[in-house]
Amino acid sequence: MNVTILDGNPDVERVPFSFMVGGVARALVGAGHEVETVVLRERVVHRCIGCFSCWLRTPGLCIFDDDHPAILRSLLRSDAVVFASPLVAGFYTALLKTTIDRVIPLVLPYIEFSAGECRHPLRYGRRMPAMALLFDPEEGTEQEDVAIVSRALERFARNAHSRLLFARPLSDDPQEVRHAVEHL
Amino acid sequence: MLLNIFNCSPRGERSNTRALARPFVEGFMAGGGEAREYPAADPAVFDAAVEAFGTPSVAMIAFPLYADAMPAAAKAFIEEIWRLRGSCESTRMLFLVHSGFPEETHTRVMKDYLERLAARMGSPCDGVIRVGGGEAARHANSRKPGRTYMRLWELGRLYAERVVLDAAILAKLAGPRRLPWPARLLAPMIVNRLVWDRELRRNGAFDRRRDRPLEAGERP
Ligand SMILES: Cc1cc2nc3c(=O)[nH]c(=O)nc-3n(C[C@H](O)[C@H](O)[C@H](O)COP(=O)(O)O)c2cc1C
Repeated sequence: MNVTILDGNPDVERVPFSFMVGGVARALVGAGHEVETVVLRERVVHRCIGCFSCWLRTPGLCIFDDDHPAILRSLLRSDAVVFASPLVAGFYTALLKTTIDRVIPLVLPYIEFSAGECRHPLRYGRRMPAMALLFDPEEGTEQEDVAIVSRALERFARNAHSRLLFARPLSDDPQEVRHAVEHL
Repeated sequence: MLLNIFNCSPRGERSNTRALARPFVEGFMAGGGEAREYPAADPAVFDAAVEAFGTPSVAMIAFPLYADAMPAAAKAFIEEIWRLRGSCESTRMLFLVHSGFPEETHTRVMKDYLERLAARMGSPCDGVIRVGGGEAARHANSRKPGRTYMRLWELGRLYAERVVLDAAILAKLAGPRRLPWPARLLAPMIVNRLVWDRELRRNGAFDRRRDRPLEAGERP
């Protein structure tokens, strides 16, 4: 199985975060999976400016020639993508959101209806990777906050023709996380 | 009463967010309020916007839905004002969230998120204005205002008078839970053929519309 881990921690000094992400990656590799961890703060990814060029001028390609297309290629090859992020103001980080916003070249501009609601068809035809969230709670994080960020990712997964496998704290046992990812 | 509008759309001046906030502001001013606008996604304005948020006022954070949540620029703004939590009791929070898709189901999670955010910030929250199907707002003709424009205007006027968002207007603006069947059949034809295909043709990109340029590639 191919897994991409997107590390959305903006803070280089938050060492335990990287350590825990590394633990999950090692658990997956140890079970024979191919894992790629993309540390987003080390990549150049411009924010989407909403120009729709990737739909209407250069279909499938963003106007920004940065590190993002390589991340999209990785997603296209993956069975699962794990979003790893601290919670800041009750949501995953702006750094991770920058990368997530830029997924629209993977869908077509057209609208279709699924379960009575609008969404876009997939550009590449095949399934998008299953999604999972590993979050690092902040002070004051409650179950309600986790439920809200999970629902937002569930909606995103639905509209990307995929599904959210789980949202769990990053501090969970890496072997348990591996197990949960394997149960696609 | 001072209303600061923080437009977090990456499209700034040319955004649907601005076109949707405008009638609310006009109504608000007709009701006796004063308003200032900050294109908060613009890095040159960002710090001034954060500072303005902390002053006694009504703060309206406005953004379009991007990948079922706030755009990265809006999240960056929220992360910055988050640092001020606990010290903004005199900032009343108000939100405007709109989606390209028409159903209100798309903006529901953001409503819950934003209400929770205000509560955790320790700021009074006057509500979340949700607008379904706002994609064409910036092309609307302000000399011939449509229903959405009129509703937002009235919402703004009533808000200036009562400091409360009118629940009946909010429900209408949010959009339907599901489009009725005839619209579900017609919408793809109209939007896909008359909007997107026409634009693709104009750009000379129609034949490439289903291209898969990232098909064969290496890992980053
Ligand atoms: C990157 C990106 C992601 C988007 N994601 C969604 C979405 O998840 N749901 C939706 O209804 N509309 C989505 N839209 C459509 C925008 O909400 C719509 O274009 C909106 O009118 C933009 O407003 P603005 O002009 O104020 O930026 C997306 C647009 C972009 C550019």
